[in-house]
Amino acid sequence: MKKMLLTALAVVLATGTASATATVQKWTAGWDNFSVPLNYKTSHVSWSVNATTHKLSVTFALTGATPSNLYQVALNFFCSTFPATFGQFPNDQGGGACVSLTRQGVTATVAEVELGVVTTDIHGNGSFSVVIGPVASGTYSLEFFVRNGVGCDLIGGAACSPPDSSAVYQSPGPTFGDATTITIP
Amino acid sequence: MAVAVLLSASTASATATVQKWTAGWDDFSEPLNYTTSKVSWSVNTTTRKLSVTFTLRGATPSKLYQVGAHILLHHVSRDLWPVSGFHRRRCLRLEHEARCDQKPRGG
Repeated sequence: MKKMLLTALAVVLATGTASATATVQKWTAGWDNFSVPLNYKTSHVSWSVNATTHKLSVTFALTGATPSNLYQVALNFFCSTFPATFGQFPNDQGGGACVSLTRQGVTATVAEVELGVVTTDIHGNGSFSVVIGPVASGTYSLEFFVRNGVGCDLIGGAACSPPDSSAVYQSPGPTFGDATTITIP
Repeated sequence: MAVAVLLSASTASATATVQKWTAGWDDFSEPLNYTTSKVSWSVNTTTRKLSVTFTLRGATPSKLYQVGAHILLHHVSRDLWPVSGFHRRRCLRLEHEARCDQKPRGG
């Protein structure tokens, strides 16, 4: 019995090592539209890396947003060059040199990857979870962001410029270029 | 004690029902791997919540697919359906199904 318990404990510890505890980040306002509501206290983005599978798990959680609204969620990588794909998702620019963007008075070169959609319920709450990978090993400097509306760099949906698909939330923020560093072993 | 918790959890949340997709009724040219794609659902009887996972494989890459449900009211009074908020509308008969919102047929 004692041996079984020790074995079970070892399995739990091994699992804990492979998949780290999720990092939870708050949202801040985006850079296109500041009038879209959000409960910034309870909304968040959380992520974790599984070192064994080389997969990145991300959950975008919105509360107190506009009810029955579509929000497209994405990643901006701050880079000089970037591959054509990040895990199973394509680089919007197709790979190669990152493109220069100026937002909130900050100019940075970026690569963008669209991940999915949060559909809010009648209370303005919703979430979207995705497992990305396997991802090429490396250290990535990125920000999470949310567009109001969907269709940007995806088939179907609205146009890819404000007022459609305006960036309404970012993390970590509060300024474009503020980055989260994620290392994939 | 751990076993009791597990048994309790399995009672409250039934095993998911897995269903295959078939073609819809508007567009038959959209690709899909019907063998591996599925929709699965389960009901938690304690929280009275329905969990649904829509899984598509072999569909068009980098495309948005909106998912929904038609509530078919063949066996209950339409007036019993607990619609609320701005979705509070009379159900309507659409061929052989009753729907609780009014949208073009593609929706």
